Amino acid sequence: MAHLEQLIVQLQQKDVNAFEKLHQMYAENIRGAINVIVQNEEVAKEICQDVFLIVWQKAETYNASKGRFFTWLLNIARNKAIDFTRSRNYKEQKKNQSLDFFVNIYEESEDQNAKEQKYRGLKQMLQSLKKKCVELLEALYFKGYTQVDASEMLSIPLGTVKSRNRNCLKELRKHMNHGE
Amino acid sequence: MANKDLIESGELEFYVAGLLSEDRMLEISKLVGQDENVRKEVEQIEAVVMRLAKESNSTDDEDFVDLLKKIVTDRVPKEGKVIPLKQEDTSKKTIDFKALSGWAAAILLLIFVGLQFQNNQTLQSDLTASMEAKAELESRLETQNFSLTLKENMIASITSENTKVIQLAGQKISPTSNVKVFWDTENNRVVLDTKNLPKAPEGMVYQLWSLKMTPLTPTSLGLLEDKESQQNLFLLDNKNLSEGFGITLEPAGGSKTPTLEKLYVLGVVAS
Repeated sequence: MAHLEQLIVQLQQKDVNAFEKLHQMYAENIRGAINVIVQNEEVAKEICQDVFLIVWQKAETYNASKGRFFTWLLNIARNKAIDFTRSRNYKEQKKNQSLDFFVNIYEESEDQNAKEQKYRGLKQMLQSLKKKCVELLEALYFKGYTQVDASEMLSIPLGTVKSRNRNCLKELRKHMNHGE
Repeated sequence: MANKDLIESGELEFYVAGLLSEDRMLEISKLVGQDENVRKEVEQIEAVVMRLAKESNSTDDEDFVDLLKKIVTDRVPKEGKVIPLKQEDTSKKTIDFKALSGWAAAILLLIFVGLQFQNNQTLQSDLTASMEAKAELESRLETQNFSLTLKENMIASITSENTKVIQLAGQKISPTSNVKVFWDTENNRVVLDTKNLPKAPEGMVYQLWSLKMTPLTPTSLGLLEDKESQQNLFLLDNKNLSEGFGITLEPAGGSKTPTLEKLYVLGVVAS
């Protein structure tokens, strides 16, 4: 972690090599997080570049005492991706499609092959969970829902959101530990 | 709350999602720094979320060079304007005084042209050309065999928020020449792209000058000689409050004052 902190300080001093390393460490994850929202990998790639453009330009505004670097990146990525989904073009393209990326993958039958093959690793992870977990994780980490939003959307008591989220992530951790 | 309870509470999962109040985020960040168990738990939660995110991709083609180009080209319109240049009148014969007058005349003309140009609709196309030049330069930097430190400094200077792009246009002696100067005013250095400058004849060397208008003062920034390679990119220090730049061809070793008849390129910094 000291290594990460050092890279962030160097990034804030406009060190291109540190920026490149951080890009290597996080770009794929951030692009994936964007894809969960926009459901278009080409668009996700573009937005991911915009996110790292902001990271380069605004690196000095990141304050480690306010949260994780990844959380900061995720927040920028979500905002950018959500902005994109407000465009007319996007609404037109997606008007007959479900916007729940995780749930779609989770519910795809085995013979709905194209997408399943494409996101096989994700499907395996999600299938270790109950559907309510899949929905909750997507809402809280990728769609930027607050605790209250998630409680309303998923019709679960507000006090349950936190504990259910923890249990869902624990399940995933178990799955990851067994799988690797 | 004891840290074990904190771990069990589900708050750390919210911390990674950025869902807590600002005060609580601050408190937990502090604990992450102090308590090994809390830190490990946070890292594990983060690893799960990162993995979920990563698996939401089907490809892994991250291109950092593309990103750098985007950074460079995104920023150019916010910078100083690129000023078109007119050829200087060098018909007068040379003595030192006249040489200096020539510089002054050329520069005054450039300022006039520059002011007019600011209102000209062609500004945008010149900016676009400059953006392309910057992207191309960045790309060449990536591929050329510079030492890491030099490359790093050059990229940092080209991409700095405080870099001004100045286009030096060919003068009477060599109208087709042109040179781009990337002046990093924060780190007081300039990167020069001299690929459109003819090769210096044997026994001669190009010399870069920083220009101040009042009083007219050319200051040498150094010689453009690179004995070890055929690179056209140069990094030089510039602590001057430059108002323009010029490049002259001088005898090997350089000169104390610029030789006007051998002025190859000239450009002013947009105000």
